[in-house]
Amino acid sequence: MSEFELDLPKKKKRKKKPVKKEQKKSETNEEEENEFKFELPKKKKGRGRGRGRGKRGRGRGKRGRGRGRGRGRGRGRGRGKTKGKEKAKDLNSENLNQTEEPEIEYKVLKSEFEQGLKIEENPDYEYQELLTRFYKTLKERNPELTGENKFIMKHPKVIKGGSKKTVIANAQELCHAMRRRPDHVLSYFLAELMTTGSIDSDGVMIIKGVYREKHIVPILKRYIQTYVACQVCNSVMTSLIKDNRLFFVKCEHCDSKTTVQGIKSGAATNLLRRKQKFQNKK
Amino acid sequence: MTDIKNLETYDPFEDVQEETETKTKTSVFKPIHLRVKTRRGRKKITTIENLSSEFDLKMLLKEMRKKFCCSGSIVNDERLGEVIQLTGDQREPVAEFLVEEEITTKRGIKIHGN
Repeated sequence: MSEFELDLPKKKKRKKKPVKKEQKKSETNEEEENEFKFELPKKKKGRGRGRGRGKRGRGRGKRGRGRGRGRGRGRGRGRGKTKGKEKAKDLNSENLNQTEEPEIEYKVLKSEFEQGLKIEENPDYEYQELLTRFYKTLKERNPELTGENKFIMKHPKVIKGGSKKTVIANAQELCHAMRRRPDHVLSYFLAELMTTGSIDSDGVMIIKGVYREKHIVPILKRYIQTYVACQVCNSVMTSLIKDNRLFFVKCEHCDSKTTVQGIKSGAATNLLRRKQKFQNKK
Repeated sequence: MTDIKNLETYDPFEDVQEETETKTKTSVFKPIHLRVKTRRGRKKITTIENLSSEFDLKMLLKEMRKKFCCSGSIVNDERLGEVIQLTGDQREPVAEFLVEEEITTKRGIKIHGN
């Protein structure tokens, strides 16, 4: 299997815009840090105290969850201890204007989710563009893998071989292209047309009766549909196998086996003539 | 006695026999083949094979002959059984006729030839 390379042109990367909520929090944290005076906090401030509420805001437990979402100094998540320590470190390093990295996990997911939604609305590459580009490169480099397996075959050359006989000159080439024995193909033709025929040494088919190309092409098509084409993947790379008195069509593309009926010729209709002959003789 | 349900005799194998019979009938699917043969010049013969023996073939022949304005006969073949022959290329009208009379569906007919 040959490999192929995709040469996508380089495009500018979009700068990640920070979410508005984080901006608000950073602002509030800066205000707090200025008030703190560089000490580890023993008391847990900011539990709803910003708006004149109780110590723990709204009557909840020590770690009052729920209502302190940044309205009360950004401490409403119940993890004030850790926050305070980290803040002290940051303050000592004197990097107040840097936006803090998100510490809690669900913060990160939310921002990524929101970014993903934005990308879907305004994508860099549209779906259709990518599809057409993919199929173009496939056709150029690996035409086998495309789904368009059009089996192009030559037309059978049908010639008049004297009155009452037709000749198919292409017979050997056709059978070779279809990977079938000419005997099998001949027997199918004769069963469908209810006539007699034979094959010459050159691989030329002779059929009794006057037929033209328009009569023979649909019979060929039917033969291909039943005995040559794989019923699973519709490919033409198949072979006929006989196994336990059954005919199988084995596909080389998808490696599947399907059973196929043998060729049965129709009833003998020469009885009419035989009756007439006997009557005339009498 | 048999008015009371609990006292009825129950044969547990009744249903099973019926199912096996029906299964054997439906599992074997024989389509009807229509073929054409050329006679002298432009004359042709159509043959109808595999019609099940439930039908009265003589009555069928009579109706077909009247409808299609042709002659026909029944021939006894060795391997295929009884076969109906009609003069002329009567494949398509025969197919329509069989579907109308609800003898088979479209799937059960196979047309050979041109």
